[in-house]
Amino acid sequence: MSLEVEALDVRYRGGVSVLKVDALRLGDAGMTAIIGPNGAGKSSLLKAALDLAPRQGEVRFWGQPLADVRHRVAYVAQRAEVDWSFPVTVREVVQMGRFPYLGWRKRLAADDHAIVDAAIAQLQLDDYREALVGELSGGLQQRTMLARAVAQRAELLLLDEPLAALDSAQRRSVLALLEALQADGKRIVCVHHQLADLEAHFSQAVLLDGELVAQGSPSDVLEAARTRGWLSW
Amino acid sequence: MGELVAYEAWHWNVVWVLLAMAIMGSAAAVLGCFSVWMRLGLSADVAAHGTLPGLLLVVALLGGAAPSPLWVLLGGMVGASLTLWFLHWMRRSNSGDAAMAVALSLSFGAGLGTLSWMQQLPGTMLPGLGQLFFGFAAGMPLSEALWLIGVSVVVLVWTVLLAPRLASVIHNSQAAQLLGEGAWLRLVFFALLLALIAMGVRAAGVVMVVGLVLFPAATARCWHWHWRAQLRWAALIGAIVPAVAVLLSAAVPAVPTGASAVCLHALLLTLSLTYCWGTARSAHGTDARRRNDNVERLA
Repeated sequence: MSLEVEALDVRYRGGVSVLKVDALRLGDAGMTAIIGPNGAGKSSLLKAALDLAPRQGEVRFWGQPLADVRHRVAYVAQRAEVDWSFPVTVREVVQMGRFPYLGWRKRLAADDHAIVDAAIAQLQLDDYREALVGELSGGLQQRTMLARAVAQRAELLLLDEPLAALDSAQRRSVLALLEALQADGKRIVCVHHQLADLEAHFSQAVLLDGELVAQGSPSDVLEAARTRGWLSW
Repeated sequence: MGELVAYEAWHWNVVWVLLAMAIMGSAAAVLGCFSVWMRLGLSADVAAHGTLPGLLLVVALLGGAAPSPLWVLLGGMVGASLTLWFLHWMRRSNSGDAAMAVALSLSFGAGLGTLSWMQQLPGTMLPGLGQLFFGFAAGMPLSEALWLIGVSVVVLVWTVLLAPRLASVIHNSQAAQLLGEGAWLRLVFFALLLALIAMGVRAAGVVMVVGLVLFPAATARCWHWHWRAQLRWAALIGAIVPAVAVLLSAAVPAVPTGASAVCLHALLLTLSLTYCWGTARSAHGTDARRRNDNVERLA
């Protein structure tokens, strides 16, 4: 199991609990969607698991604490949480994925350059490698962040709303790339809002609403949401 | 003969001070680029104002004697750190700009009040208000110039070494934090910034030193779209302008170094903005042109 959570309690400043989960196991199947209404704790689950949000409880990746397996986990934050105004190229962003393997000065060796080139090619970004990432379309920016995760050789990808603010063509393109990554052996856990394509693209789903409501196949989880009258979000 | 010796001593001192100001300006410019990208420009200003109470505290601890460069460095860093801590504390319950305004007025008021009080004490060796606020590099003793060179070189080398990590944190702080970067890197960056500001206050002045940090970053944005190139441009501009200001200050002692450096920087920024606007090379102009290229490629 890629990610195991026990007795998780996420509380931001002010002390109000935004998410409580007794036990949750994620990432054993190819692509897992985390769904739920706004404020359900979807992003908080990912952030708390990655020590990016205050939490209590136990989180383990492949049975080990995060500190021991950082390089095996990649996180793609929500688009609003990335500074797109920083004048950096696509290639440089993808190179950042190699940082956990580099020495103190973060200088890339020939092997690292080859891995970066391969990641750029895999995500079909060859034409944009020297473009400023902040000037690309939303779909290309998401592809760049995925290329960074690929260059990191991460086995588990935690993605926070990777399809948000993308048009339908860009959404299809990113979903196709996610499926290709999954076929390549990556495990993908993804906060997701488009319920219409849940069954078509995901093998597992988790429904949250401040707590774990349902987990299982997308159809079962959608049925649980329908039963509770929550399909309006 | 006596006049000749005095002239040569002045001459070599100016050369050392000029070198010190050029290296300090270069280091300040590189730090300034990262400050702008990290949206810490006003925090740098708050830190610069906070050095004054720290310096005065050191003078008080030394019984009114003129502090050595090491004491200047320590006092300035402590004062700036306390002011930034106060700013951070204020931000917990206030908006960012309100906290910034309060921290600025507090550090400025505390520094000015303490200075006025201490200047009336017998035997206290304090520079004049104008020198403290606007700087007087040309009158800097050799030992202080050498300290400024040493600290600036250390700051410049460390900032360049940390540049890839800083870029990673700026672009995507959460992904960087996941990989173990983040908090410690910001701490080191602030330490470098405070050290440079503390050492640069005597030369450029409490009010003006932040201009040496931020102006080159703003000017460099006009000349290139890429962060590494902007760093190089800023370092070059940052080195040349204070050096020219030292020469001005040495030739006309009534002209304070910090103020003349800031005026020169402002002139250069205005010319750069005008040129870039005229040739569509500004950050916005370049962005627009490149965005069009990308749109064409997508089509």
